[in-house]
Amino acid sequence: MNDNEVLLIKRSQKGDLAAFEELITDYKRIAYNIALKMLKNKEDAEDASQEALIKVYRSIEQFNMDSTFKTWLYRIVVNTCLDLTRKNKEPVISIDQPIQSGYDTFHMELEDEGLKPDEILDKKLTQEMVLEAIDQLEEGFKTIILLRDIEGLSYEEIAEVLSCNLGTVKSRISRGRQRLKEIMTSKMMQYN
Amino acid sequence: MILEGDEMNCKACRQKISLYLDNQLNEEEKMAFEEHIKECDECSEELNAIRGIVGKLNEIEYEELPEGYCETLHQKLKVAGQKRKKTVKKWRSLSLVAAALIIVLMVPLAVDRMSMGLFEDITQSSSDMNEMAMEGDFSAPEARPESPPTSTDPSFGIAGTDGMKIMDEESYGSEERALQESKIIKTGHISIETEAYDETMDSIIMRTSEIGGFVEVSETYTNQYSYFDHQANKRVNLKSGYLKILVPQERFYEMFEEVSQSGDVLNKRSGESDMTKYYYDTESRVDNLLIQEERLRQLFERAENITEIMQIENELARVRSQIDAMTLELQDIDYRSNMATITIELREVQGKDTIRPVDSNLWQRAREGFTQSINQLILIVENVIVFIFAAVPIIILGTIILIIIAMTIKRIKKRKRD
Repeated sequence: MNDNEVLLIKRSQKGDLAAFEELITDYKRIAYNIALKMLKNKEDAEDASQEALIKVYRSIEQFNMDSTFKTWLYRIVVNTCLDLTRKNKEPVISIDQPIQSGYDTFHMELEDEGLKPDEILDKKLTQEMVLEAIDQLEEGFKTIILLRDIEGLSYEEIAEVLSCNLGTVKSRISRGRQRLKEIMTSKMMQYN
Repeated sequence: MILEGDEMNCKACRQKISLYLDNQLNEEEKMAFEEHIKECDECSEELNAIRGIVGKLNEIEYEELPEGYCETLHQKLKVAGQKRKKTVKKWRSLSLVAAALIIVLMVPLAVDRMSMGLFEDITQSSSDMNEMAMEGDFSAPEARPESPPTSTDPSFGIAGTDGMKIMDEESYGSEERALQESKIIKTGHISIETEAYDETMDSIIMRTSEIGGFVEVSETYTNQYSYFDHQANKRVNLKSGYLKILVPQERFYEMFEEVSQSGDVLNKRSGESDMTKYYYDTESRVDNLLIQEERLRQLFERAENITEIMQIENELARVRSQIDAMTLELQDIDYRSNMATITIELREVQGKDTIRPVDSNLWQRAREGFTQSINQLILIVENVIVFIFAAVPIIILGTIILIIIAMTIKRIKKRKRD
């Protein structure tokens, strides 16, 4: 944390809203993007990231500079999003079972969201594919991969954000990436 | 090649791929890992695959914030800020609740005592002050050392059952400041005459700032009375003035005395009104209203439809305006009890040893005298003329009679001669 950040934090702790807004200038985008990756929905991401930032503002008085502001903020954003995903777990809708509606039954017509085989041949690995694959990761892996490979946090920072020890971080990153590779491979296999 | 002692099989290698990519392996591990990769095609493929994925992930760029994001956030933060302030005050409102409870419990007691004719304060602190006063040397309540010698000195404080004055400006100004400060508003008024107007005025103003007070109003005007200053060889108008000074209440009598000694006092009065009871009553009412407001706010957050929101909002506005009005009143009392007000009327009089000035009305009076005598003169002349005219018939008649008499006498004398 640089001096300016410390100063802004201290002013925010006294309730200075302007200082707080200056403090989070860069973090707003970070928060929004994490939420976007975790929630896969722009509206939800907007709400969740704002909610997280408000939480940060409300509890900034309790921030005691033990950790960096960055990891502290990440933690709040990640936890807010995790809470939301847990709350929003929608009932799974089957896409091949006919839908019953009154006396009629429908078959769901879904657009094929996957890429065409020739596109795969062209691009092999696209960002979209990676993001899709990330989305299919289990929650625990998803968060950690997001923090490591998209946000570029160090192992130590991740340990702080997720409040777990370094060993856990290491093994989870490792397993997460392996899992991601598996998902990607099976996707590739499908289209090939 | 398989290392002895530190055997690297494929399973162990896979687990280390991530760490290797992130440079988390120590030198030894790293070397072993690289050795294995060289030997094992499968693991090397796996490493490349994961490196590719991580590379792709690293390339992902942040998406821009949606439009209006910052504004919405700003609004939400503002609201959150207000709430935050409230949570800070939460412990305070808790203590308010406690205070309110105490007051509620004490009120019936106080009412009981009041109805018995006892004027004791509700709260404990006043009994503290009672004790304080009793500890002091107040065998003769009237003979307080600070009390000014003026007969206008009003007895202040709340009379206890034993008739003892329990307040004393010195005693509660001391370190043993009681919890409940008494709110006594002191005011004084003096009219004085002085020969040296400017000096008196200046000395009062200077003294006021010396004792920590200030001049609220200062006004000087010259009046039409004037005298001739022989030293300056010019005509000087007499001045009058008005001063309103505010002094710290504990130095009120001191200042009041000083002012009255700075000239001949024409009129002097001072008074005190005890606002203590009223003040603390109002304060507890404000506290209660604050609690009510807090509760309304909680209700407001839970309000579900427009009607409820409107009703609560109206109620909130009413409570708020009451709080504001009462707080203002409290502040005013606070202010006025801290600073005593003295109003001073200052009149300049001419020196007794100087020659009396010529009356500026002299010419006026001379003219009046002149006009009066002229008027009298005119009146006399008028009367004479009126008399003459009024006498004309008589004169004519008289003349005729005289002529007849004279002619008769002439005729008689002629006959005698003949």
